[in-house]
Amino acid sequence: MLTTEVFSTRQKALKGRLGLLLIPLVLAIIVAVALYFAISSYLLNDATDKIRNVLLSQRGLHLYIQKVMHPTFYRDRERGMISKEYYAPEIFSSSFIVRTMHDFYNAERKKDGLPPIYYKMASINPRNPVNRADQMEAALIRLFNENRDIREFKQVVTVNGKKYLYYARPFLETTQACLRCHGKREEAPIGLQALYPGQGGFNEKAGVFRAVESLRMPIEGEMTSAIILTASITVGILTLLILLLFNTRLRTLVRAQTEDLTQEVAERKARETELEGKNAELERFTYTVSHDLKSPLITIKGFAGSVLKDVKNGRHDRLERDLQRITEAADKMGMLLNDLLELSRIGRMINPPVSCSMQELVQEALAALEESIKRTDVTIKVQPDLPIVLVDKMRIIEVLQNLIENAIKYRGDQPDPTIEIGKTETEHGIAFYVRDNGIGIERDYLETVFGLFNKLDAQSDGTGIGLALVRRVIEFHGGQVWADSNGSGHGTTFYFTLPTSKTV
Amino acid sequence: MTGEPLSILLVEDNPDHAELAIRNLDDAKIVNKVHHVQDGQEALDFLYNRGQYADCAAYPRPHLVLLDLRLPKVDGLEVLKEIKSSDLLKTIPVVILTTSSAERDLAMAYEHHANSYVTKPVDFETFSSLLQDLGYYWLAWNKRPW
Repeated sequence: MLTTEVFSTRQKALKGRLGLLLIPLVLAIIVAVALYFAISSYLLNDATDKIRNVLLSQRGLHLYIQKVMHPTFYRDRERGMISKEYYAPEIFSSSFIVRTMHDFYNAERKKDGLPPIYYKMASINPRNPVNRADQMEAALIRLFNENRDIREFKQVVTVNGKKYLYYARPFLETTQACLRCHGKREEAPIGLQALYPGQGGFNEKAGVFRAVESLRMPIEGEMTSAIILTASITVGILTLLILLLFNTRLRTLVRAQTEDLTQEVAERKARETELEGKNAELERFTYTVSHDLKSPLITIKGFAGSVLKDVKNGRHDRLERDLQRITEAADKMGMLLNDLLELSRIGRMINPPVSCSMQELVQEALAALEESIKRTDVTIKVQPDLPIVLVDKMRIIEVLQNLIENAIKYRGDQPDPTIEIGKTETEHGIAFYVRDNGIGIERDYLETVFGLFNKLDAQSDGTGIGLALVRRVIEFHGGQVWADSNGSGHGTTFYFTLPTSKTV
Repeated sequence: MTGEPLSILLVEDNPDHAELAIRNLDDAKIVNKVHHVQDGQEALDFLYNRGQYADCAAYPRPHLVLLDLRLPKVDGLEVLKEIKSSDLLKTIPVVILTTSSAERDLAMAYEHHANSYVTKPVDFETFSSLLQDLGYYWLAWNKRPW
């Protein structure tokens, strides 16, 4: 249900789903890239710091040699404590000293389980071939000399498939003091000249960077960490985004579903209420029907039994009357059944409303009752200008007929029976009325007259279904019907409302 | 049977059913007079000796009321309520004699202190013996408070 909705494969949903995943994907990629750079640079900076520390430490040693050790040596040589021929690289060559120190340093690192840090002092014209600058280093030396503002160089390099951080700085500027050993060959100490044939390491100039010191530290581990970190953070963010988006979508879906459900529940409740109403009506109907049909049946069987008994006893005086009663009761049942069918038919078969002139409908109803009216000498007064109504023509004519018939039937014993038909303003709006000056209805019974088979006068003709029918029809048209009377002998008025062309 | 004039008030709106009841009660020869009224209003008028029934001698207090439930004007149940809540009338036994076998009606009738509830069966023989039994029971066998 809900999950299939979210992961639906309908066309629209598919596009929506792609769109849905695309956004967080794109965002994730951007974030991942940014993160990777951020983390890498952080880690590289960290590595750089480590290297720089080592380098600066070595620089410290270099400076010690340059500023303390050598000056002390030269001073004591001047004093004649040391021979002028004396040269030993272990004391005089700072590159030798630092290189050797670094070897000891790496050995100590190895003891601690740390990887070695590669060190190289490179120059273009080295004394020791081990210090020869390669292409990159030569370029760096030139760069550092040309641009004094550049103080360092770092790069991630791959050597033998492994990644390293390569960090280089220009070596100390050549000073006058340096030229003792690095100036003209002839001026260098004899011991040095003997040790190093050739021009390597000579003819340097003062004020020039003659070498670069570089360190190379493995950063394989850091790179891996960077990748893992980036990946996990990215995945985390991606998941969050997807969850967020799905959450929103879920919420929308849930809300939509809830709305749908709420509406459906409301509809169902309405239908339930309607059904309950219909059920109650049916129950009332069934009860009434069974009772009112049972009654004539009792009469029939009762008098049939009485007739049988009388015939057996040879009594004939009341046979005719009793048989009549039986017939009448049977007729009554027939009428009841017909009326019931009529009533139930109304419930199912009401034609779509059409515009009719109420005036016309009244005239047609009166025409159908012409005989009755003439016979009873009733005066009929119809208001002119009755409006157009939106009704089922035949049904309303039946209603009018019924009401007029009743008015005639219950006119009572009087010299001038009159029936008025018209429209008037009532508390339920504009209503039509059929008014008579007949026997009237007690106020208590103004509602009960509309009950099924209720008759105030048991002896009168008819089954008592007429007004129930009238109410049914009027209610089906969305109107109301009610009676008013000032009591016995004061006439009755029946009012009913109908949808006019104005109110529709 | 003591020979004093016994009377039954039959409250029945259906003239045919009333005729059947009267015939049966007559045949049984247990009661002296059946007074028949056709609606609830008349029944109460009779019992209270009002209106057209003001003559107490002509319309004495009945020994038994046979009451149909569905009556025009004042409903049978209303009449029952009225009788059983009136200090004057509540001692009169009221037997509901009606076509309805609905449980609802039965319950309501007893709730309003009907003395008995009998449904009109459709069979004549049964009906007549029912009325005879009623007559015998209420008038001959049953102890009356007056």
